Amino acid sequence: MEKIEFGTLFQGIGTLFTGGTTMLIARIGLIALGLFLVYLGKKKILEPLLMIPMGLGMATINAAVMVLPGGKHGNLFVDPLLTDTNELFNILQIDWLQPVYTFTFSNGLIACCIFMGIGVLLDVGYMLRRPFLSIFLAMFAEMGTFLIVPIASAMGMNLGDAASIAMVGGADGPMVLFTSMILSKDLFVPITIVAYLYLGFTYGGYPYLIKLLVPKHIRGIQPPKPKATPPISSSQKLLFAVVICVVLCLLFPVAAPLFFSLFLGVAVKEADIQPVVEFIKGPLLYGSTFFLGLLLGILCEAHLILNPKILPLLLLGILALLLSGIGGLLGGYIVYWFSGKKFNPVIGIAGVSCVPSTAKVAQKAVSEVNPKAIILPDALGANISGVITTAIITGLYVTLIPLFM
Amino acid sequence: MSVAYFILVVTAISFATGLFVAFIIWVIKWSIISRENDETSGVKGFTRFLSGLSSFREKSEQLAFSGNNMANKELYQFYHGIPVLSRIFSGSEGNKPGNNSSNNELYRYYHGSATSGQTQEKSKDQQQMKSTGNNALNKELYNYYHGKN
Repeated sequence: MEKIEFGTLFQGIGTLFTGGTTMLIARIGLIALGLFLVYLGKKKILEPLLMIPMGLGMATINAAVMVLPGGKHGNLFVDPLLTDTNELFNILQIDWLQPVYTFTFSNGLIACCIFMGIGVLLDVGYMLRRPFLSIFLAMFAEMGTFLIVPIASAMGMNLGDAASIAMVGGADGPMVLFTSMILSKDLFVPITIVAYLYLGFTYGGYPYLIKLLVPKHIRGIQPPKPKATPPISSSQKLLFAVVICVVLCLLFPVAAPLFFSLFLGVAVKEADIQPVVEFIKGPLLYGSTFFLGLLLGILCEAHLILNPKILPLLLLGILALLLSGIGGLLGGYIVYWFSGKKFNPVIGIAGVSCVPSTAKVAQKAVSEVNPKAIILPDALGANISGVITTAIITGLYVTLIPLFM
Repeated sequence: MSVAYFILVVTAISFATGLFVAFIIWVIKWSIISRENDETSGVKGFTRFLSGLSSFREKSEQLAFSGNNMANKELYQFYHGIPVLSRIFSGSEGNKPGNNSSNNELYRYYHGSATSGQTQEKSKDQQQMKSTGNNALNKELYNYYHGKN
């Protein structure tokens, strides 16, 4: 009987030692990070729906490295770099997650499905209450999305990569995925991973940012109630969704899949098509988020993380979210001054469109100082406007950057 | 073209587009609020008109299938109303000024002194009711008010 080597029998371990020291450290580090993400998900410190499949996927993909025919190291999960149609067709029959990646991830379908789910969860009535104020705050809360582009360009990134990482400032995962897939095909995986990892920053970091930039006596302000308006019916909300969807698609056809998905969710909800609403906000949204997390984890291979562009992406991502938070509060302060110091500037941070996290963070920060102050309706208005302004900026970047590059 | 100029252009267009969207939302909101009390126009009027159309279609499907003239007449009256009739039989509303000519016509229709055309219409209606024993109409009306068994 021929002698079988240990490394040939247990190839996951064998490849650890044949890939070089750097790869060894990177793989072990990513396995550890993956397991840590599972732990954070289980403890609900980060979103478990995303972190558990992502963490386990990350750990597994770096463990399950094998020697492929031809001596190359690889796995039986997915090959994201394939472009040749014949090769792709062959791999679709071998790698078990390749169909999910090819038919839902790389064409943006999964981002659109999540957007439909967000649409079903949104109540656009909050935005209809004070549209100018909501949009104004949301625009200021895009400061990171605007300012990171020149900063990243100064660091040597091309405009497409710079705009993709800048979209992290919008705090909208599907939007980052959509933008980076179009503008930054080589870096869309790490950029999307950075985006989803950092979304937890809105929960963990923004309360400190609020405390740092808004003094206690201002934080507790109860904003004046808007003039009494009749309740907004579902027909009126449906009308709003249809009109805005068509207008935005007319303006930015490139981002039409995102606009359509978002407002389709709103329309289905307001038309009260209950079976479809239940399907979108249940199986579709949860299923898409689960597979997104799984694919993001699976795509975290060691050689990808060893890319020298990753470190700047990590720095720029966190900076984008920080600047957006500061921008939101700045917008809040402008309204505060113009309203004769009656407006609570904390509402501004809710313009960062991480629905509904930032609105909840704002309300919580205010309630700690003044339990009677209710800012949630205004915060949700800014929050929902944030989704729309991020979509507008996505449309602009995706349309304009190919012309400038 | 410099990146700074690019980002300036993007920011300006973003703000302009955002305000444009806010304006559209404001227009929708304005049309809701300013026409709130006007039931025949604006968004509310339009939505009521649409819901009216759907109820019309449902009622028509329920009633207009038999070809029964009396049922059709009832249907017509249901949708277009017999304001005069309702006013006659609803106390003070019936004496509302401005309805005199209608009241007279209706009175003549039911109590005589009608024109030859009205007399003919009345006898035709009565004949139809007599020939069917009004069963069809009763059935239609029963179904309309109480639902089909």
